[in-house]
Amino acid sequence: MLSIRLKLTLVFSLLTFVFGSSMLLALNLTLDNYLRRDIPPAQPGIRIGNRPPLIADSELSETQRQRLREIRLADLRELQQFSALLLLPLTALSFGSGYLLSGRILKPIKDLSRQMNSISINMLGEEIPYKDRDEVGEVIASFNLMSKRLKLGFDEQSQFVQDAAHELRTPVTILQAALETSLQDKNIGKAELLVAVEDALSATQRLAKLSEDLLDTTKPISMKEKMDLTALVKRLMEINQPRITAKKVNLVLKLSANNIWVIADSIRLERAISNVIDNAIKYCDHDVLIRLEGGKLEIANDGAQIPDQDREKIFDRFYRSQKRQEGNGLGLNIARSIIEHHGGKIELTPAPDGYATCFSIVLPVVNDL
Amino acid sequence: MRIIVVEDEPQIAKYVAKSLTQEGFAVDVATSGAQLLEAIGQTQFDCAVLDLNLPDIDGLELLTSLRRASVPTLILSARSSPRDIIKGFELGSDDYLAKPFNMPELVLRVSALIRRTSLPSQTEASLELLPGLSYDAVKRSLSRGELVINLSNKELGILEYLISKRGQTVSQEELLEHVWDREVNIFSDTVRTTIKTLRQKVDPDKKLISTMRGRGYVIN
Repeated sequence: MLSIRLKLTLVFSLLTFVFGSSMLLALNLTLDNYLRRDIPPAQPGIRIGNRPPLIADSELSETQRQRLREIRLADLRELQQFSALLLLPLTALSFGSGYLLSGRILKPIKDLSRQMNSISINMLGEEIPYKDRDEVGEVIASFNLMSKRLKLGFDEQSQFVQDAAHELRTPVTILQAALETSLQDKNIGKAELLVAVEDALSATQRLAKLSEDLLDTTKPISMKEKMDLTALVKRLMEINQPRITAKKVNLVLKLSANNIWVIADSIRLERAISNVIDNAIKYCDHDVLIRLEGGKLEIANDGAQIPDQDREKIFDRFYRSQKRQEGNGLGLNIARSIIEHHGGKIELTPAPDGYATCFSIVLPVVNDL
Repeated sequence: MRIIVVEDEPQIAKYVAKSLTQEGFAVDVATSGAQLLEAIGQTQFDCAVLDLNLPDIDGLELLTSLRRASVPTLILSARSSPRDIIKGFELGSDDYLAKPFNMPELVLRVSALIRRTSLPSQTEASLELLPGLSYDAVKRSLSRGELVINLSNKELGILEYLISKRGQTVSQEELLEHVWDREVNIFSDTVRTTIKTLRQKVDPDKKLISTMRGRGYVIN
């Protein structure tokens, strides 16, 4: 496999050589042709076209003409020998300069290659400098862009892992604290011990849920099924009924009579919507509204308003409001990710009268197939 | 000695407070920065255990307030990068422990911190209070010869506090503040009763703990 450099060299050198030697050959042939010609008595000199002769025409005798003829043949031979000799340096020069020149032009690519080889994960995002905006420069520019994008992706993942590890620390701390303190207390009573065991258990459950949720955010979503949103909301209401009753929530449910079909990863979509409904119940004071119309699902509650500066952040991972409730702060983040994957949108919209917070979820509806 | 535990996660605060109480300290709990500031405005604590990640006020700001109130502080934090640790020390924390932590280690560090700050000139292993009666500041125990004297938490607390203020007269109010927590009934006779039982066990001739009538008690 010939390198580009060698290919360029061959092409360039060949061209130069062919051009050079063609010129040489043409010159030789012309002179050959002329110098072998019979010498006319008048106008013995070289005449190109109709130009006036350099040497004044004069009559030459037969002997003179013969002599001139011999000199010209000798000259011709000289020239031809010289030309032949020139061929060698000509070859060398054309190949040599061809090789050098192509090396110069291709140098940036070699540099790029070397730099690319030396880039480790830690150096992603560092730009390779280039001077000219030529073809090589464009490759470098594209590479730099790609490198930056990769770095962003890696940073986001790294940030996620850091955040996750951080969040895991709290339930682990509680677990360790409850168990160690209880073990240290030689006179601990049964009731107190039971409380500690319960605390340890709930911390473990918290850990389990957090791990599940974290794994969840990395699983790919595969949308294969036809799912009825109306049925989904009804089902979620049934599941949440005990909580709603226990908290004495005043639930207003407005569903259409029809089926509303979407193409979905049913388990994930159910999870997403469940998270939002969950939040509404958790954070409400008394009232929750759920309204499904066409592809739009509105979930509103009358709890504390979300402050302006937090409105952007509520979908961030691990974000929790001031009035911290149970939960790990991943619910809305997961919900948004899943809904967007389904081609939908979730956002905070102005709440209807009597409610403080309203989430609107819009999903692409498919017509009855 | 009185400690304030500042931690917004109630289940962590609960067990830290319990472990420290079991060790014989009087413990108060604050679950927010605002609560802490209110508490240190009313009481002089001997040590604070501070979580940096409070919801209302930045932990490092609170550290500065604690420093101004002369409360030695141990930072207990999930943030454990070298940068965070350095920042904590730069702003005046006296010790740093990352979460999740080993509870016995926390208790030992707090004890060491209190010992360091209340008995700074005490470098020997034990302090001889009276001929034959020695107090081990590390183990926090009192012994006569080889025999360890069994003291209640409050008795030990009073003894420890009086030793730390050696030579100074300490009022009943001050003892109440440093040896009991918020739950105590300040109008009861509890200080006087505890001094009495302490003396019975340790100092029947009143050679160690002297009563300064109208002003308080002192260990010379």
